[in-house]
Amino acid sequence: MNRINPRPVENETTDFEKTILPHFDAAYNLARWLTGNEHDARDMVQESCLRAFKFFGGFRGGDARSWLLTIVRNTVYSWLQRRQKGEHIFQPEEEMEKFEDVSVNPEQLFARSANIEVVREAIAQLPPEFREALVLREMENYSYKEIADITGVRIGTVMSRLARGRQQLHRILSQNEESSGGIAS
Amino acid sequence: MNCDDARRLIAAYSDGELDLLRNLEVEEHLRGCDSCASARENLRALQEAAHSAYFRAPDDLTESVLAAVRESDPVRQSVAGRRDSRSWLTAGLALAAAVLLGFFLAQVLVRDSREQTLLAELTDSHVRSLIGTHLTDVISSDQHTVRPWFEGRLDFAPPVADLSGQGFPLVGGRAEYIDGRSVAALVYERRKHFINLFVWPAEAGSQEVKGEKTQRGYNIVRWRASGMNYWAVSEVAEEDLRKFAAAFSGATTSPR
Repeated sequence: MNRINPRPVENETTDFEKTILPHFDAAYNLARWLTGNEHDARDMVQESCLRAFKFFGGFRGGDARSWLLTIVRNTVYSWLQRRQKGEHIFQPEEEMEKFEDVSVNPEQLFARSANIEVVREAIAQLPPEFREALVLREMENYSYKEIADITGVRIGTVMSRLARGRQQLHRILSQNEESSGGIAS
Repeated sequence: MNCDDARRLIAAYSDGELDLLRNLEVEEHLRGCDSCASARENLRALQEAAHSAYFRAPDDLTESVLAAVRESDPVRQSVAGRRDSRSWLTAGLALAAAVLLGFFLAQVLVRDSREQTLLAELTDSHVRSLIGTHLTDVISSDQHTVRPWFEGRLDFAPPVADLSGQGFPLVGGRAEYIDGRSVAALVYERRKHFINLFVWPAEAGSQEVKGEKTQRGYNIVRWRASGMNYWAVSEVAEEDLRKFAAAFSGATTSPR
């Protein structure tokens, strides 16, 4: 309705705000997981929103969250690239590991998982491409296809990243049960 | 379905990516196989754990980012400038007249910039109240609840009237701090849209600001009555907002 308003220019920011504000948490969450800290995540969200605003004229409806997250992702990766000057951000994909049974039982895992800081530390240890797939799947509830579109890889790759990310996360959370001091609370 | 097949499909099953038939097959297998069911529980626990690690955006980030976006917007500023050229001309003439008459030029300028600040701040407050969860501090359609709520929170008593009868039901109120002073914000509804009516005492000797304005696409109607400034800010049509202003004035300045 706002698009046919006779004063589109004045309303541009308002339209833009209406479009991105519902997805602000999603943008921050992704930036936070990809940068690893609050300070950089804030900068990245701001830079992403400025870019998004610049490109907003080209956004013709559709899934605003995916649109914004794609911009956040690109912004963060170009920033990481600038910063790391050619260092590899992604490790090369390895062969899919075989499913292995782990010694920990669901109750133990539940107990460990109750401590949000433990979980966050564990996720932070994952390689970025696994972490990214997990964030989009478990936190944003995207389908494999949507994750493939946002991250620019095939669905098979998404599935493999998710599987390996979950496997590693499970392993990290299951390790050293005794070192998990503060779980009881 | 055997355990190998089931283990291979458990992730896709949990992610809701299987077709109906495969889905039923996996479910069937899980019912009969404790080991696979436990693997599924493990995955579920892991998914919930990961979900709980979500980082919500810090409260102040939204505003600072929106402010940066607005500042970055040269198009809006230049086009708005062109569009307003006629009203600027009028303002220019008024200003020239003021200079010629030699009356309080400095004061006029100060007032204008203060007016701009107020416009911006009140519009921001309106926008914030809509996008955040902080529309009201006190939620009530009863003027006798909202009015006493302001006591102790403000150094003045804003008139409060429920205007349901005129199509503007009272939603509630909140206290704001704007332009260096506390301001009452009364929230009214008009067909699913909200009107923020900002009320604060007029400074003694200050000039009355009244009339309609638009700021970033929001309509603003301003008036003064019984020593109070009233600024109504909303996205509802200007005509509706004027009706609202008339209804409010009518209800609060009834003959004693």
